Amino acid sequence: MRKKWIENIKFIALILLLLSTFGDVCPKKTQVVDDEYPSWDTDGDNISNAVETNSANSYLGLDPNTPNANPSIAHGYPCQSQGGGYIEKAFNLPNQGTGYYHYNPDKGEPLIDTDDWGVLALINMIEGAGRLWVWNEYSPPRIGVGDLSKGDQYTQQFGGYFPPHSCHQNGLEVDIRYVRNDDLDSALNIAWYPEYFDEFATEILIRYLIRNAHIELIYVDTLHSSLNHIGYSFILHLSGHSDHFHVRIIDPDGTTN
Amino acid sequence: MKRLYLYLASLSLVLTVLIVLVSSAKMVSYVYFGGPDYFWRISKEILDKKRLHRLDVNTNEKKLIYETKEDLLIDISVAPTDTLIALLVKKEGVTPPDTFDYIVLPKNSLVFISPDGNEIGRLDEDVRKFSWSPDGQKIAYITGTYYEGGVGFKTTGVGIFDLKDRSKKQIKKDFPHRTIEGFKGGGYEIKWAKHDNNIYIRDFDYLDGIYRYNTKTGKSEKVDCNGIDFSPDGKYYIGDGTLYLTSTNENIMSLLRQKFGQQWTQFSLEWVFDKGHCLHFIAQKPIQKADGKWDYEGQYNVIYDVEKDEILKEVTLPISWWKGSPNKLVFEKDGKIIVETYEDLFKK
Repeated sequence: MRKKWIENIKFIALILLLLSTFGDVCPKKTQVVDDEYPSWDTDGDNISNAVETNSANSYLGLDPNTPNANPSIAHGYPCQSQGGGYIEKAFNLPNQGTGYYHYNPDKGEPLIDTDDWGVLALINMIEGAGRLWVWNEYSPPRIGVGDLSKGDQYTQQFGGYFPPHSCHQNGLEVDIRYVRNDDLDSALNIAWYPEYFDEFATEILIRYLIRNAHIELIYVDTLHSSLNHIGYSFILHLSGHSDHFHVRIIDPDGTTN
Repeated sequence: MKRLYLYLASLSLVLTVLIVLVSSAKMVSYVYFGGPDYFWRISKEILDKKRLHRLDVNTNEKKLIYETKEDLLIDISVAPTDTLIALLVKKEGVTPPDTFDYIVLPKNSLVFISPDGNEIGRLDEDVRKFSWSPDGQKIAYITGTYYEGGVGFKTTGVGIFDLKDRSKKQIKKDFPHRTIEGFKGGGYEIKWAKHDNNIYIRDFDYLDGIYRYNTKTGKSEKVDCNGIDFSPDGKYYIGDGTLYLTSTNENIMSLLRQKFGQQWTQFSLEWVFDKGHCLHFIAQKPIQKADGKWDYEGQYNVIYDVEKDEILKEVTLPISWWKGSPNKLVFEKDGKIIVETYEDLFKK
């Protein structure tokens, strides 16, 4: 009798195991899985799974298995001199992802998820460039991503005045480290230590960023690099850009709001 | 009588000591002998950026005149009078062995040397930006803490250093700063203007304001303009890479666009010489390719008189790393330097 019970339990466990495995392979009817969608965005909503499952973005109620609309809107302008701006429903960049890592320049107050918020197009540019970076075997080093816009998931206040930046206000801008030639995921000031500068790889990185977004401008240091020779008139010199270059994308929802 | 001699002798001794003391107190400890024939350069060798060399253009003699014991020489600025040199020196921060990310942030010092390399003073206050007074006797400066990104530092103060008596004056307290979310604002660009001898500071505040510090009255006021880099005669100024007319704040970059074409690009807009309104910039000429797209050919230097709307000179030679006072623009060809001055240009 006991043996029979044990046999029954074994059988039920086997069935359950099979069902659970089957469940994983075959999604429920409500799940959207399409082979046409890439592995990093399985519901094909143009918001990556990494962003959708990033805990800092939980306030947006995103589901990696269901297509979500893009709620982020850049209001106003990137710079203080233009009148400033802010972000409505900002996205937080995962602290690391394929081909990139986020560094916090504020060594005194290294608070997580306070300086890496942007509109979806900006996040997608970084993630897209990171994937190309890995696929084309430029990593290591990974892309060093610094400040985007500031934000707080709990108060849901995003963007605004962000010293010591004169811009970075409405989620359209990001600082990125120049690429090192020693494979380290570290800072590099090309004016101080040009011997560690991989200018060719940095040019490739800029091209990957351009491929993944509509760029308004990129500020680089042309006193210590020739990055303005890439052939894009929006790549400009600005002093103070020897330890990072600054990328601004075109406001995806227009500048009138 | 003997007593009188003794008295006179001791009196003269006391007087001599007093004269020596007074004269040494008044004596300026650096010598003016820079002249127009010297230029200075931080060592070009990548791994040897601790050294400063001097070039005598008459003899073409290059001489090592200064070497820092700190980490790096990161900037050089020669006083308008050619008599002093300010060197921004980086003191090494601390990085762990496997990374170059600072755990202790690097700091800067501003070191003043004479034209022959003698150190005559220093500011150990983490100086980030500085600007010479037109008479070359004082320096206005911004101090701040290193920050990787943004403008590169978080401002901690604004001051004036007088090289004659080595006195320092903090002028930040005179500014209508506000505490904004724990950040005490502060300047991030500073220029000592020649036309009115006042100090202009671009400041972080809610309006990204520009302030003028009156060096006579010690008062500051907010001014309505878009930049702080004025031409020597004050008629024009540069702000965010754009050219403005001071009297109306009108953006007159279109002048340059009309002259060089819409596709033309320029870099490093700066005033040259100590008079007038001569711009120097590096330009790139556009060429239209067969597919209709635009590309850019090599860079060249332009010296341009804004008021006359006239190109004074176009030079394809590279700008020299040798630095002199702002009165001269220096190009390099086959190891020799070619100096352009205001007087020379207008003589032609």
